[in-house]
Amino acid sequence: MAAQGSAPFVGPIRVRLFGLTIILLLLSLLAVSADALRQFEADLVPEMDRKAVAVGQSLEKQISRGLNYGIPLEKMRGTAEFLEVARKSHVEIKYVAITDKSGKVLFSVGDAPAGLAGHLGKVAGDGFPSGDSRRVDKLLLSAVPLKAGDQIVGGLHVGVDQKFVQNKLEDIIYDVLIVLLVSLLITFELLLFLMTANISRPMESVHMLMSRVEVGDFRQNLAHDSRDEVGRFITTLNGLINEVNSHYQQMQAKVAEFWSMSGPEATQRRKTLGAHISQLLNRVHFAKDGVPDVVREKSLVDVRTPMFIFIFAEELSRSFFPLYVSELYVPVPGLSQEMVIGLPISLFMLFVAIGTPFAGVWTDRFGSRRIFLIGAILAIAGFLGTGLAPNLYHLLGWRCMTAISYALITMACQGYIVAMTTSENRAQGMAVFIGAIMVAAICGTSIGGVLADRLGFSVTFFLSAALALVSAIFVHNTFAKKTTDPSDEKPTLKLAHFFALFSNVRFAVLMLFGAIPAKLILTGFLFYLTPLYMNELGHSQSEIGRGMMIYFIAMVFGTPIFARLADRLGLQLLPVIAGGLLAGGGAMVLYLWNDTIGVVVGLAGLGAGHAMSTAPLISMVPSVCAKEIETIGQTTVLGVFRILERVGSVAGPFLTAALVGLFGSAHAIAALGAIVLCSTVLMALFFAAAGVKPRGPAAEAA
Amino acid sequence: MKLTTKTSLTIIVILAFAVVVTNFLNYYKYQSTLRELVQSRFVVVGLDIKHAIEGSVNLGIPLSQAENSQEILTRVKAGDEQILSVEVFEISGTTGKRIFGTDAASIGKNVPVDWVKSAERPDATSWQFDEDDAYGVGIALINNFNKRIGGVVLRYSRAYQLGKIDAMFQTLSRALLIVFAVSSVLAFIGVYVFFRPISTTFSRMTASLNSLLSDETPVLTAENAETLEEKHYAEFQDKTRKVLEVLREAEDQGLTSDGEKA
Repeated sequence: MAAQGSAPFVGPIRVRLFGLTIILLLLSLLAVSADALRQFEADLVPEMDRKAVAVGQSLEKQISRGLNYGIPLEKMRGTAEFLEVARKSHVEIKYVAITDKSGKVLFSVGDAPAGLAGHLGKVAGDGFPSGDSRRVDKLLLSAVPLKAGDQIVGGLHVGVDQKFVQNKLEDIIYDVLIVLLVSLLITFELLLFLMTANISRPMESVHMLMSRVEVGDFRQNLAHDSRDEVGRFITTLNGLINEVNSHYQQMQAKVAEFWSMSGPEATQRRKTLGAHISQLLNRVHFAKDGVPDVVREKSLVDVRTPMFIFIFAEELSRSFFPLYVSELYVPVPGLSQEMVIGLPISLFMLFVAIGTPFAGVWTDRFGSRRIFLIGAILAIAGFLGTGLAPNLYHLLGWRCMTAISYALITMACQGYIVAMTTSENRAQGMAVFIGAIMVAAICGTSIGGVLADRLGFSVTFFLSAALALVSAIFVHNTFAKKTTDPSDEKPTLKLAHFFALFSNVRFAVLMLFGAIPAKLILTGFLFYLTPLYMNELGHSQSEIGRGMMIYFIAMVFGTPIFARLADRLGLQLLPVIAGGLLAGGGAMVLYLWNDTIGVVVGLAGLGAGHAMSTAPLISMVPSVCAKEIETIGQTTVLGVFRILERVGSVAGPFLTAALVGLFGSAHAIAALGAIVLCSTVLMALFFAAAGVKPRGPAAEAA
Repeated sequence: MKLTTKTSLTIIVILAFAVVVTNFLNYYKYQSTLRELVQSRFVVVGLDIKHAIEGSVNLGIPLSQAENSQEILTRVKAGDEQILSVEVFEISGTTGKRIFGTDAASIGKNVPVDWVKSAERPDATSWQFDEDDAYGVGIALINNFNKRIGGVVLRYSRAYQLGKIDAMFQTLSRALLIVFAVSSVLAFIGVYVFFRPISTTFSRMTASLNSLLSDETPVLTAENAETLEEKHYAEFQDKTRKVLEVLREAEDQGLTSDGEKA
């Protein structure tokens, strides 16, 4: 495996390129938005003016009615209240005033702009020309004359906020910031891939090859596909090695020729050449048969980038999927409407759980590349089918297909990482994998909401299909054709393993009160109910996406911090308990605050809680299952753990739907929180009774 | 493809994604703001008509006999070229019948059921609808007993808004292309500057390897190597040249001479 970015100039260049991209992105978005504001103001201000005149004329008709009954303008009762109602009915109208015919203000509502008196006097002098709007301070003021009969007795002035258009554009500022954030994260991912694939990794290979040649090893060539500067150098370098081997082959051929000849001259030549060959072979190794082995260096980035793109595609629909299902709702006998809406998520989780062990076996048999490509084809079909699904039953079918593709692709990627890492650096490899998933989840969830808001649900699924295709192209071009390592022992899961592990009470408690509730609240609260409840609160898709992003951000930033802290302090059980209490407590906040703030606090608590507990929970497994690991191995134990915790993922949406039916959305989230909280307390009590110290590893009391 | 081209293209694709999506967000915002502004203006106009008609109804005149209504509708339509039609309908049971309108041919005909349902919705006094060639707003007419007795419906030009939206799309696209072109050029220049040392190093090393292959004096040596890469390469080249010399010499001896040179 190539060390990441160890070529001396790659690190600084990557930083500079990232800086350049940030600057260009900021400047471009600023320029595009500033120009849009200028154009919108030029185009929309006349429209606002027309509306202000319409409002003025409407008010004028009602005031004129009073005037025509002979009521003097200054003595009209309730005029200020009447104007206030008009002002409040139109967001862009900030000021309304009635003046006498000299321009003196008789009634007004809203904040008067600076320089108003001068303006009103001038307008009064001009006879309150209708449709002639003028800018005064921050307002655009339009006037309408007020008449009693044919006599002008005063004027009505309507002030429109000049910043209305700017405020309208500010409505989308969060969406633009999401675009910026997603662009930067994509930039980071793509530059990482580009620099690794085109510079770091080839440079590492070149260094390796040159070092080998320096000690006289001419037995290898480098595989490469690019035609850039590095590619041309490698081609020439390979040419040199081939040339050396070719010369050696010719020498050997000549020796053979001389062996077939007789006579003193042939003997002498044989001796001379033989001496040369012996001299060379003492310090130089040539390729067997003159054909060097082709070496292809692999990198974790090979797997990170396509995984990132695929998860990005999958997460695009995260913020609206339950809403999309509710659009296709048809009654299903025996299930409530809420349960039917949760059904596709549960089925998806179920098929991922069922498909994962098979996908693992197939990856071992057919290789990561082939399995990923098959998975990508299924994913493309799944996304397209989901976007085009005419009813719930079709949707369920397509989602099951997408779930299988998810299982295939994740296992293909994990298989690739396993094949190119050793037991020492496998955790680092998996961290690369999980990092890609989390960053993609942030990007997909947030931008998916923005896209769905404008383009609709179906088009967003089509974009997911396009992204899945891009991930397949990446894998087709970067994954080595053969990745499985035959020497690696492949454990197989048996039903007996499940029974063996469940007979270990500690494992059962950890599973039932720790891992399963964690997944339960993840799929129930985050995946299923957050989109539905935020929609119920009147939030747009973009806002729902941004809300859900909070969880993933807490995970991305919190996980490494808490993991380091737990490692440094030697904690296992304590972060699991603290995380469970935080996740459950966060969700329970919705019992008191059943509004947007409650959801945000709940998601932040869930994210922070999971960031705190996820890694220590997994690391507790070997501690509580030391005996089982001795007999069936750690990989099998962790495999069983992974499958069993998915019970929570499958049950989450269903249980939540049932709770929604009983308590309503907000209290259903709080109830989920209560379940997690109680489970955590029970788990803590059990381990306390078992003598496990909260600060030490769980095996201490064994 | 050169390193600079590949990297520039990657950055340019990301820039394209960002500016295109941002521009679309702006475009959709313009579309919704324009529609909102125009619609709210026509709601104001519709409310004016509503107040005038309700004034008569509240004096005890049946809605169908509020004769000045027709005059008001005609005047309102004539006052704004965007207005395609204004109609007043009366609710009778579950249906609604046009009783006044600027389109004489439609008077007496039933209105769509949706209009009646919208006018009778207790939680709103106005509603909006879309047609192929027009947008519309409706305002419920309510009598003194708070009963919904009918509605005013104002249809206004869709073409006007579509024309403006189309023009704005073109304007924004032009600006986008300019911004995109400028940032792409800057990206290319930036990448070129950052990659020049690498490109130069690899070009020099490749040229030197080629000279080694053609048995010429290498252009890159330990003396003129500038970067760490070049220094490493120079060491490699030195050792490889020695091996090549031995091979070539041996080959020459084996193929052309009787071995005396050895």
